[in-house]
Order: sequence, then C-alpha cells, then structure tokens
Amino acid sequence: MEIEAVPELPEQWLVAHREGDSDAFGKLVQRYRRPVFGYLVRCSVPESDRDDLFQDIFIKIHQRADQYDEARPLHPWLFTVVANTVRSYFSKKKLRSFFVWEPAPEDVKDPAPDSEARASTKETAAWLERAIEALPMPQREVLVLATIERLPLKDIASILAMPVNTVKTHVRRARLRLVESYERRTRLNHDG
Amino acid sequence: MTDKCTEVRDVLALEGKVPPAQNDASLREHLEGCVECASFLRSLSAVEAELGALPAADVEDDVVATLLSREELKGRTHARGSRHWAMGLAAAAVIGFVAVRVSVHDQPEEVFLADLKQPRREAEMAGLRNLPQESRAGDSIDLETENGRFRELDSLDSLADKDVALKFEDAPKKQDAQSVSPPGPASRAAAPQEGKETVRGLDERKGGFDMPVPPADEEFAVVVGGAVVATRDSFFASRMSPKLQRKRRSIEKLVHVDPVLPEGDRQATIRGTVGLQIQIDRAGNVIDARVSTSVPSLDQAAIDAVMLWKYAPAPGDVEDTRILDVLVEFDLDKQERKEYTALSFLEARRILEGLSFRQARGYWANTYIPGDPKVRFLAARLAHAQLTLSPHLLARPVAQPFDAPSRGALSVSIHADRRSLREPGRLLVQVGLKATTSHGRRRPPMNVGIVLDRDGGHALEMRALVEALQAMKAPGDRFRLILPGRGEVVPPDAFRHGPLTLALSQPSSGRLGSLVGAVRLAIEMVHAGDDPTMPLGTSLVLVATTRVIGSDMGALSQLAHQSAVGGVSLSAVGVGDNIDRAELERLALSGQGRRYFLEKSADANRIVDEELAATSRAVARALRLRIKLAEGVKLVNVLDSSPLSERQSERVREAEKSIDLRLARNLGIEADRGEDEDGIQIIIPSFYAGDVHTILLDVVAPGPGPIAEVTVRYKDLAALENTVTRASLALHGTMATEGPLERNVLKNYLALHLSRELEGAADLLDRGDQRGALARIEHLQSLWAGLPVTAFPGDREIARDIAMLTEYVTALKSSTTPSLVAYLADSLRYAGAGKRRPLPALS
Repeated sequence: MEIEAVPELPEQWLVAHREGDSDAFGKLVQRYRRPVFGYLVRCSVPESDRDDLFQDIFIKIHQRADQYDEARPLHPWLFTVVANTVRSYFSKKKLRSFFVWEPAPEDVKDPAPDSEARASTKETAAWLERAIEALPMPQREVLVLATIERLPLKDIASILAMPVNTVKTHVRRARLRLVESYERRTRLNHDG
Repeated sequence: MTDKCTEVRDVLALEGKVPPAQNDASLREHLEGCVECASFLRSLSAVEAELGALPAADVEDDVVATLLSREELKGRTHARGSRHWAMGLAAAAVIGFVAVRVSVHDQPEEVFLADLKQPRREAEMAGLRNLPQESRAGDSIDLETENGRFRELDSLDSLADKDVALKFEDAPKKQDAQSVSPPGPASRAAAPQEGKETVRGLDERKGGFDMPVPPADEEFAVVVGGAVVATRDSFFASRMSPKLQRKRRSIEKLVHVDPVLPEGDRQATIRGTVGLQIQIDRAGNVIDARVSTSVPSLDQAAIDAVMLWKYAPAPGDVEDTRILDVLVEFDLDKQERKEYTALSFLEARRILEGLSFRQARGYWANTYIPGDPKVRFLAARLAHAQLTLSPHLLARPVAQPFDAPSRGALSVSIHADRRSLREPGRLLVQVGLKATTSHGRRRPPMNVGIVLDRDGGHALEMRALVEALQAMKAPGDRFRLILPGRGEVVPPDAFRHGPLTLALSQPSSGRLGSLVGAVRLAIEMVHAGDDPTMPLGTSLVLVATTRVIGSDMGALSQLAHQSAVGGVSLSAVGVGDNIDRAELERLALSGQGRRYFLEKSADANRIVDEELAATSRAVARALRLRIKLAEGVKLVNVLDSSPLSERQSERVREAEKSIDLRLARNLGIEADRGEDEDGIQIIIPSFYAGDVHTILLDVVAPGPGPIAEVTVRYKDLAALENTVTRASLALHGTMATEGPLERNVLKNYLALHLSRELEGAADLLDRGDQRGALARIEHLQSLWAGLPVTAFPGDREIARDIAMLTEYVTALKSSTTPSLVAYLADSLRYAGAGKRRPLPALS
C-alpha cells in the first residue's frame, strides 16, 4: 500500500486542500492560527469579536482557495484576506456607530487609567501593546505585518493595496511614534 | 534637531536598525557625533527588541475545533467549473448596455476616441495579479483602442473598484437609428459578434470575456457593484469639447439604490448577477423591470432595487419610453469592503424598515438660542494661541436660500429633500425662519440687577464688566450691584466709579452657595423697580460667574424661570475658563435671556453693549411655531430637538403667556395665547434681527400629497401686532429632479451631522482619546469625499468641508503635545459651532 507523503509547506497544504485532501485545511489552520489571531489582537479587534472574526477569515480562505496561485508564496495571499476582513470589520463597526449618532462603546471608556492599568504599564509588553494600539490604523497594519510577520514592504503594499512608498511612510512613522513613547516611558520611570 | 538628524532618524525608523549595506558613511559619522541620534538609535533598538519579544497571541483550541467542524468547511472548495460562469457574470456586471431609441446623427464615432491620446498609466501597484479578487479598491479603469491609444478614465477612479480594462477593437460603422435594435440581455450579449465593436475584459486571470459595444449612437452604461458609475457620455465627457458635450445625449442615473440582500442569505457568501431589462418613462422613472438573467434567490431583490432607480428625464424629442439593460451584481464581499460611502449614508436616511415613530404633537425643545454664540469664548482662546494651524477657519454654515420677509418681521418656509414622492417614502422636512434685518429702535431705559459671583477669581474681568456697565449707563437706566453674601452693595443712585471701586475692592465672601440668595435678591429688587409699561426685556438680571454652579443649578434655573415669567429676564455671563458652558446655557434659556462668555477684559464692552441692545434688536417675540403633519405622515424625529416633559411644557406655556400679557399691556398687542394647538409646537421667546433658524424633521409620508403645514404666530415688535405666517408643503407623484432647495435641506442635514461629529471628536480629545477622535474625523473625511460624486458635484461648501477635514486629519496625526491637542479640541468645537451658525471673527 502506498501512503502519500503529507506535504510540508503551507502552500502545498492549500493546494492539497484544493485537490480534495480533507486534512490539509486543518493543518493550514494550525499553522496560521497564531499569526492570524495575533494580527487580530495587535489590530485591536475587541476580544468579544476576535473568535468570530478568526473563524470568518478561515472560512474565506477556504472559499477562495481556488484563487490562490501556488507559484507564489502563501503568506502574502493569506494576509490579504486577513487584512481585508479586519478592515471591513472596522468599517462596518464604524457604520453601525455612525447611524445611531452615538459614540461607539469603545470611545467612551474612562480616560483615567485605573490603578491596575497603571501598574501594568510598567510591564514591558503592556506598554508596547498600548503604544501599538495608539497608532493610527494604517500604521498599525503596516507595523504588524512588517515587524511581527516580517513581511517584505513590497508584499505589504500588495496586501494593503497601497503604494510601496506609502507603506514606507507608515512604517517609518509607526517606529518614530513607538520610539517616542518608549522614551517618554523611560523618562517617566526615571522621574518617579 | 538638525535636518541631518531628521534624515538619519527617518532612515533608521524605516529600517528599524542601521541599514546593513549602507554605503552612506555620513549616517554612521553622524551617529558617532550626535548624542541625541545615538540615543534615538538605542531607543529604536530597544523597541525593536521588545517588538520581537512580544508574546504570541493564540486562539483557544475550542475555537479552532468549532471552525473545523463548520458546515462551510465540509467538502471541497468552490468547483472550478462554476467559477468561470460566476466570473463571466461578474465581469459582465461591469458593463451594461443602454439602448435608447435616440440617435445622434451628427456624431461620428471618432469623436469619442479622438482625444484619447495620453499614454496608459502604469498600474501603480505591483504584484496585484496574485491577490484575491476582492482586494482592491480604487483601481483604475483603462481604455484601450485598437491603434494603441490608451486613456485612463480618471473620473471613474473614485467609483470603480474593479480592475477592468475595456478594449475597443474596431471603430463601429455609423448606423441609422432605425436599424439599431436594442441589444439583448447581457447573457445573450456576452458572446462576441463578428465585425462588431466589442468590449473585452483584459483581466487574464479571469480568462477574458468579450461583449459587443453598442454603436456610437446608442448609449451604454458601466455598472460596478450594481451602480451605474458611468454612462457612455460620462465615460467620454471629460475628453470632449464643451460643444460636443452639449451635443451628446445622456441617460444619467439620478437615483441609485443598492440591492438589499435577502436576510437569510446574509450569512452565506453571496455572488451573483441578475440581468434586468428595465423600462424608463419620459420622466426617468423605472416603470417596469423584467429579469433577463436570473439568479432565483436574488431576482426579487434586484427588481426591488432597480424599481427605485431614477434616470434623467428624456430629452424633448424623445417620445417613447426607453429600454435599458442593466445588471445588478450581488457581492457581499464587495459590499463589505466598500468603505462606508456617501451613498450609503445618504441612502440611510431613506430606510423605512425598523423605524419607530413619535407623536407629532405637544411641545418640543426650542433649538434657537440667541445671544453670544458659545464660540466667542473658543475664538478668544484660539486667537490667543497664535498658531497658524487653523482648520476651523474653513467652517461655515450652509448658506440659506430663504427669502427675507417682504412684510412683517419673519418669513417662514418649508421644503423637503425631495420634490416628488411616488410611494411611501422617508424624507427630511425643513422649516426655515428668517428675520428681517432692520430694527434700529433706540434702547429704552433699563432696569438691571448685576450679580457678580467672584469666588473663582478673575477680579480684572469682573471689574471690566462693571466698568463697561457704568460707561454705557444712559439717563433713566437703573443699575444696581449685588454680591453674594453681601447683598446690594451699590444701589442705582450710587452706580458710579467711586462706590463701585470701593465695593469691588472688598474681599469676596468666600461662602459658596450664596449665589442663589444673591440672585433671588436681585430678581426681587429689579422686579420691584419694574415698570410694566416699559417694553419687555428692559428689566433684567445679569449674573456673572467664574465657576461651575453645580448643585445650585436646579434652584437657580427655577428662579430664572419664575423671574422671566414675571417679566424680568435673566442673562448669564461666564468669566474665565473654569465654567460650565452648558450650565450657563440652561440658565439663560430658563431666564429667557442670553448667555455670554467673557474670556478677557476687552470683551466686556461688547457683551454689555449687546445685552443692553438686545431688547431693541428683537424683531419678534413669543413665536409659536406649529408644524402640523398631514394625515398619514408619520414623524420619526425632530432633529436636534426632543419632546418636552409635562413640567417643561408647562413652563414654556407660562413663559409664552407672560410675554403675551406683558406685550398686550404695554405695547397694545392683543393677548391671543393660552390654547394648545394641534401638531408639533415650539415656543421661541425672542427672535432677533438678521437671524436665520432651521428645524429639520425626519418623516415618513404615505405617498404624493400634502406633507406638512407650518404656522408661525408671533408678536411683531415693529408693526406692533399679532402676526401669523404660514407655509405648506405638498409633493406630487410625478418624479421631478431635485433642485437647489432640496439640496439645501440635505446640506443642512449634513451640516448638523458634521457639527455633531466635530464636537464629538473634540469630546474624545478632551478625554485623551486622540485615536478615537482621529478615527471619527477620518470617517467623516471618507464620507464627505464621496459627496461630490453622489449628490453635490462641484459644490464649494462641501469642498471647503473636505479641505477642513483633511487638515484635521493631518493635524491629529501629527499633534502630540497636550497643549496642541487641547488647541485642536477647541478648534474642532469652534468648527462644529461654525457649521451651525456664522462665527464671530477671530480677534
């Protein structure tokens, strides 16, 4: 009996899935669950919606598997679906809050940080998460793809449908801001 | 920081480190020499290290398990075979034909292509080919002719969201109108025909598709995402000389309604295109729609949508109805992706489902607040900051086209945002009031009690206020000064420099809460000195405060109301910036007075002058505005207003009656009030010369016919008589194109929305949420950007708004210091107010 070798590259998984391999899609999900979920977290998708959006993304990938050209790397293709889903999620959310002419719920949170939050800002990761969250959306998208997903700027331009120079501007501004908040935090820690 | 520092930091920030293959020795050299940049690099490295060490977020295992067990993942992905079909249709959706029994005999085809000479613009984005199909908004549409002439249709850039190229392979033979048969439905048309002009989709990954292009004397439309984004005319219009443009006939689509996806199918990913043949009557209404290419589950939704579309009326020499083939594409992905557009916003106010209605009767809150616009205060602060950044200077209220009253003090008008109505529909009804600009009566002697609440400091400003009063005191005026905790410190006969200086030099009582007592005393004293034969408004109490009134507010506003009912109005002056503007507004409303903000001493003269002259500036009093909706017309809301409670209504009635009686007594205008009327009632105590006010109602009407009637009764202070002005609105069933008046209604609605959103963004900034504020402005920016292409082509006021929003976006993205953010909050508020009424000049 001949056992077909399981392909090892994600690209091949998607192709195998397309060809009818029932396990391949599950492998793909396992391979990409962290990057995709991480993207949702870093792009400030509220916790309550993350799981649903995560599922939506993979359903879309499933449905569009046919559109994927296996000669090209999977990573940018996949993140195009991710980024677009997140964008349309936010635009729909805006739309909803807009029609009722009320601030979206996340807009009305108490501006004064509570003591717990204040304590946690001292932790390394927390300040960075906050600083990323404070970036404008395009900068955040670009930064996450560039520094966390380590995607080349050219691919990011394709994913986010922006000119490469715009991507460069966003990534530069994002880093400048992070450095700025890093320095502010360092000063604060020194002062008290 | 030098330019070199900026340059070096930009390079470092782009790379996240010192670029490895950097030949630029000057960068390293600079880093060795510049302590700040070296420190910047250290910080950058630390940030990069922390970015790399961010803990990976992971989804719960059971979410993955749920995902993998979902029905949608069962079986294989979409069958490839069906994809071609879907693509053919999707591609076909981009092109619809309009066949019109109109011909333009003097219009050779060369005209269309003659000007298309510019070289093709290279696609800006590389690597697009391998992206999923849903991914690109804003792609351009390119046009290619056989002899290699390309032209990017830039006018479509903003609307098109599909990368499609149209190829004209052959210039068609000119045909006579009689020989032109309307092209069949798209499905039939999709096969290429020998010798005929074809449109070819050049999108190779879709395999390409060919469609015949109608001859030159027919017209066609490009439909993207269900919307006609261009007719043949608009395709070429920008390339044609004005003369030729005039010769062309257009079948412009005036109203587009997106298809509503059937509720049950929303969860599924819907793709499909319904082909329809529609019949348009001379007025441009769609009178019939037949399915030519069916997608059973979507047919009805497509018909429902196109029946609401509306085209431009036929030109004079066209006698018949017109037939048009259109395609309605359903693509949920695309709809999701479509950024929140102007179209969807404008359509939202037409939505009929899920509405709740309010009683179109009883008393509603008056939104006309005379006196100092609150921006005075902001204007002073903004001017003080002396920054060149001033987007707020671009904020202007909508120019109101209302007629000035030809007779009497006020004119009233009523319009809607549409001119006709064929079936049940939702519309905005606007009631406009405009006062005459002339008044010019002399100020009568005044009886004024001044209460200074000095506990919050600002001694200089308070002194300036008193000095201004003293300087403007005319013979016959009776001014008195009352201080909390100390009573009347300067009586009318001693209201001179010496006693005033002495009184103000004494320390304040320091006792909080005594303000209520002082105001009560002032009201009693002024009331005692009130001469009921004098015009209403000549007796008043002026309360100046430097602090938040807080818990005393309830008692004060009750006092103010009683005082106003008794004939003594109460105005409020906020001094300094530690005041609550909303409080002062409430107080002034209860006291039928005005409210002012005194930021610096120099404002004192203006405020006093305005307040003392207000009595003579009023042209109408006791306005009773009644809006009666016609039978069957239902009220969704009175925008920006709210129904008054029983108690509030009672107060408003009392106030109205007191003015009525007072004016009857001393001006001889017959008392005529006291009865409640049917309909929405709004009482405005005074209306001032030159002012304009609009009230917007959101209503649902059952169809053509009368919509609403507005009656304004008021005491005309010039003619000294009771005056009634009426206006009514009826819409007929024959479709009529919306004109400037309808657009004005819509613009007032947009201005109100913009105003609220700008103020909302300012609130977010106050709360430290700069990100939220930016998101809000960006959102407005994207909405406004769509307005010129939908409802307001070439509109200067909208263009100005867009420029303002763009400036705010830039400012919010770059402002980091707290003082700059505070400045922007002021600026946003100023602009928000500026969208509602004219702003004072920034001094």
